[in-house]
Amino acid sequence: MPPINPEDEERLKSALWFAIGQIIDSTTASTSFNATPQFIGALTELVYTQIAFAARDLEAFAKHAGRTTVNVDDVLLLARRNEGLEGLLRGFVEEGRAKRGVGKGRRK
Amino acid sequence: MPPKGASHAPFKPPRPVAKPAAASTSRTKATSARTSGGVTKSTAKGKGKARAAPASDDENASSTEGSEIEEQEEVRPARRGIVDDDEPPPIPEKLLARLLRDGFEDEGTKIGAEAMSVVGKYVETFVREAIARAMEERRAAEREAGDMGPDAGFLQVEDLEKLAPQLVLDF
Repeated sequence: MPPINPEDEERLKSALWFAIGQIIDSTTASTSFNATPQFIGALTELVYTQIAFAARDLEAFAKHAGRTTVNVDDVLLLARRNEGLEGLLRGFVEEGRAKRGVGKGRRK
Repeated sequence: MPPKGASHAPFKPPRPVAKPAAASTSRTKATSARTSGGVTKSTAKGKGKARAAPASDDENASSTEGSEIEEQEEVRPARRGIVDDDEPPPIPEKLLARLLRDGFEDEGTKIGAEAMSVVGKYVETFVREAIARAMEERRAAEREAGDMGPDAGFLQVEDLEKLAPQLVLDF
């Protein structure tokens, strides 16, 4: 990864922290659970790292296919080792395509 | 990660969060404005008017896919009850795009719009799965320890530490 400006990194993590906090709120709202701020911070770090790794994988997949633009197939490759996850993402893709109107065929 | 984030990160988040969701609207707005302002600035080279948290105030705004996460895989019966039909607020696409771009080694690498939305789903699933497993860990921990006092029901860093290795392997 190219070094990013630590200030930017902090801002990005703050934004991610906020987004994750919201997801936690909405997920735990109907339960008896809650999260400590430390938990949210740690989860933010984990997600941040996971996204960074995903980005490198996606770039490598696209390059391997001779492209410079990451496409849906590359993203599905991310989930290749987890059938459940792959199925979930495939379903999401198909649903999105159906919503936008069928007949486009398989987009690359 | 060390417990309680002790020696780990210099990252000082701006906001201690996680009170029950209900009372959060005004705080939500304030923080949203602040965070998005910051990110917008740093994304200026992108498309200008980036908004980091567009959908943050109305959680029901996104109408996409309802409950198919429930079809997801195996094990852990307790996970079922956790995932309901409510869409969690999505991670802002602009933010995600920025994070991905930072992750690319080659400046020329781009990502298509459809692919972007699938990455969003991937990350969202990752987060929800982490939360679901953390709840499971907490339940187990509290079953073992008995009464937890005021800390009962609060997901802890140690819960995340226990589940992180397997979670990362699964994604």
